Amino acid sequence: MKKIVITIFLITVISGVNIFAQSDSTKTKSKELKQKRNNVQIMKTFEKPGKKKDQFIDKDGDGICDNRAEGMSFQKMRKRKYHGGEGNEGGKGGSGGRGQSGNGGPGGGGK
Amino acid sequence: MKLNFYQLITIWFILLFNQSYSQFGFYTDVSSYYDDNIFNNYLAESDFIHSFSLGTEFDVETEVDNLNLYYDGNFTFYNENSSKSSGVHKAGIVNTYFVNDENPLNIGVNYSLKKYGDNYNIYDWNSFSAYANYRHYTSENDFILAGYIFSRIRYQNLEIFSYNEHKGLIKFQLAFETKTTLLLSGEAGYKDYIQQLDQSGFTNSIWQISSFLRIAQALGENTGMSMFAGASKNFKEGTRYLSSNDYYYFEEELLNDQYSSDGFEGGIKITQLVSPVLILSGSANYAQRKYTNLPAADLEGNPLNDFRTDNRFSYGVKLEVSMGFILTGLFGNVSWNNIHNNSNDPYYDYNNQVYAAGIEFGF
Repeated sequence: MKKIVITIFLITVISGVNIFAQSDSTKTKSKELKQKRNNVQIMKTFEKPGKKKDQFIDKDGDGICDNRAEGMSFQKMRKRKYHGGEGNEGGKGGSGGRGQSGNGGPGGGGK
Repeated sequence: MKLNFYQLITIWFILLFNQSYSQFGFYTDVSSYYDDNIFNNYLAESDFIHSFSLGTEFDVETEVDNLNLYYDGNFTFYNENSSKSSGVHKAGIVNTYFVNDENPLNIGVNYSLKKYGDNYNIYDWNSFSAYANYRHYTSENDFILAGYIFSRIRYQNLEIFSYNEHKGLIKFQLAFETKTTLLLSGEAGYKDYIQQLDQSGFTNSIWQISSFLRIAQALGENTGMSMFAGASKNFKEGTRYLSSNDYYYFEEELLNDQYSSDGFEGGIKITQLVSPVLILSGSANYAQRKYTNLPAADLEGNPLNDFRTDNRFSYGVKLEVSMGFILTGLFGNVSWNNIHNNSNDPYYDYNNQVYAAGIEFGF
């Protein structure tokens, strides 16, 4: 019983600190992290004066600059189904080779 | 004060979340399509199919890591062939560590399972996968990636087809000032059946290597072209089949995976950004698939002294629209695809058209 009370106390205190700190420390850390990454990107731009700020980026390989499609919204949807998987990371369809109607088999890792 | 294991784990999780920035995501997708040949054979049985997907993820971001927990579910319903309806569930966790704050190292595991309706539940499966990959950027858009995937796939009702798979891959991407992006990849896969059988006619393992090249080229500010070519080669016997009295039980649901055949494929895709919210694309592909050890047969089942070879032509168009003017994160798409599969096995000599429409929402 004593242990349970101690555990609940610890959870309450730490969670309380967490919630209280949400407005400052967590957000500040996140802000600092984003700021840091922005700085890295800005420095890179300065380091490569030959490159324009509006750079051509085509990660999905369709020949169109990714940031042209409504503020990256299309890309965001595609990224959502990625989860760090690479290669033939089927999972949902594998390579059943049956057109759109195929249920396919199991896939590999990732997504 | 002594703390037990569970208390320590609880405190560790709380501290971890306390020092991190978390984010929750959700998406859902509803689509329907008319398929005039659902079994992909000369009998050409058609059906209406409805698909519903939903997924959720939770990101926990620290200074150098991003921990992602996710679930994806998909439910497919067939109007006429209801027993072919199925549900797939997938849950996983992946940690991304940013080396030098920009090169992602992903390490993850996931578990999936698929359940069919009553008459198809013999094809139910579950799988466990573990993977790791590292992407190293040599410049803003150029990278080299190396990865490894292990999977264990189990067919609970057809244990003889359960297998382990090991896969290694490498990719290079190079972007040029001419707005050309080149992607080159190579992959080696090894499929090893869990039940090793010491009988002639039964495959125990398969090796396959494959390569892929894609060139994407901007043809203007709003037009892009993408071309690809790929080839694969099988080593050792090929996929395991069941045979009895000269009849081969070849069930596409179970056996028509990447290891069942080798060959080459190529294709072209043109994408037009009609407006910032409207994308129109058209594609045409060709693939030759040589089934390593599946004999071709006539419609009565008499062998034709050759292995099955398919020449497959497919083409289609797709229209995607972002409907942010109705609701942020809402997307729609319609598509049409046509497949001509010319095979030396007349059972698999078929045409197939698919008309599809869908709506996707995510935040």
